[in-house]
Amino acid sequence: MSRSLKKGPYVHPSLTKKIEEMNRKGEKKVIKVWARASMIVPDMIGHTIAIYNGRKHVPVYITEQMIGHRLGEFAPTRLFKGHSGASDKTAKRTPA
Amino acid sequence: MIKSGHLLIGEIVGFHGLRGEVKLRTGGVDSKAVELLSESDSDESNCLICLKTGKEIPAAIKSVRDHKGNLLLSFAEYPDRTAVEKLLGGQVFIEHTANIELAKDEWWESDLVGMQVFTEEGLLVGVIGSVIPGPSTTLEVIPDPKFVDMSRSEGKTILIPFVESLVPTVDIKAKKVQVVDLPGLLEPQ
Repeated sequence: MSRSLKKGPYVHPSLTKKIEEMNRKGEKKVIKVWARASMIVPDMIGHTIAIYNGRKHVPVYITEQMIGHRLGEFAPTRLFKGHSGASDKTAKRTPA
Repeated sequence: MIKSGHLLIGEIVGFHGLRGEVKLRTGGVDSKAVELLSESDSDESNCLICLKTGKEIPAAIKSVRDHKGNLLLSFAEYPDRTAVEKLLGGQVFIEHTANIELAKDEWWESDLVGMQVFTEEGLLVGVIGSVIPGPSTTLEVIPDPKFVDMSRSEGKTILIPFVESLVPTVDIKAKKVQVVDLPGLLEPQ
């Protein structure tokens, strides 16, 4: 069953507080969070949030396309690095 | 082993049939490289096979096809199975710099790895150890001993999201990357 619309999206209260404070002051710094279930809301755009993956905090730059997703979706808890003989790949930089 | 200026396609892990086809484990080869391989139909050598012994053999790729998640390649110089058996365990490279044009804001992982990372003030942060793929690409930087307190950061790395706002400059020729020193970003963990 999905979350009631009446409640609005779930965002951890302390994260909301930090984001609102940074937006008010107009400053940017990395926020460490453990609340992987928090939803990404428009206020977070342009901020860098270090999301805990069970081992360390993975910094993620929040963009417009991420809105509506959960923070945990961007910090995988398992990372398969491939078998031997892995080929070369390209790395794409996200535009600002 | 990644050769400079060459793109690693994969490793020869077996054979298929009697007509000299080799099974290549690619580990998710880049689609652009597959396109390039499919287009090559000349008898001139267009790839390099690096054997386990360290010997490098130039060869011409005759055919490429997909088979159960692996690639099947055949080479003009090796027409049958007996001939290709000595290539087992070899890594297949093709030249990428001249043949594949990358989009803006796109680089080969092998070019990025080993690049020095500097802050906007010119302070050396470290060297890129790997590029972590995923929902958002992340650069894993091995910190420089002068930049961090190594007694507390032994074995730790610095993770930097690969976005233009935080990594504004990537200079492949100078092998340098510039990052924004956002509070809390350049902490090893």
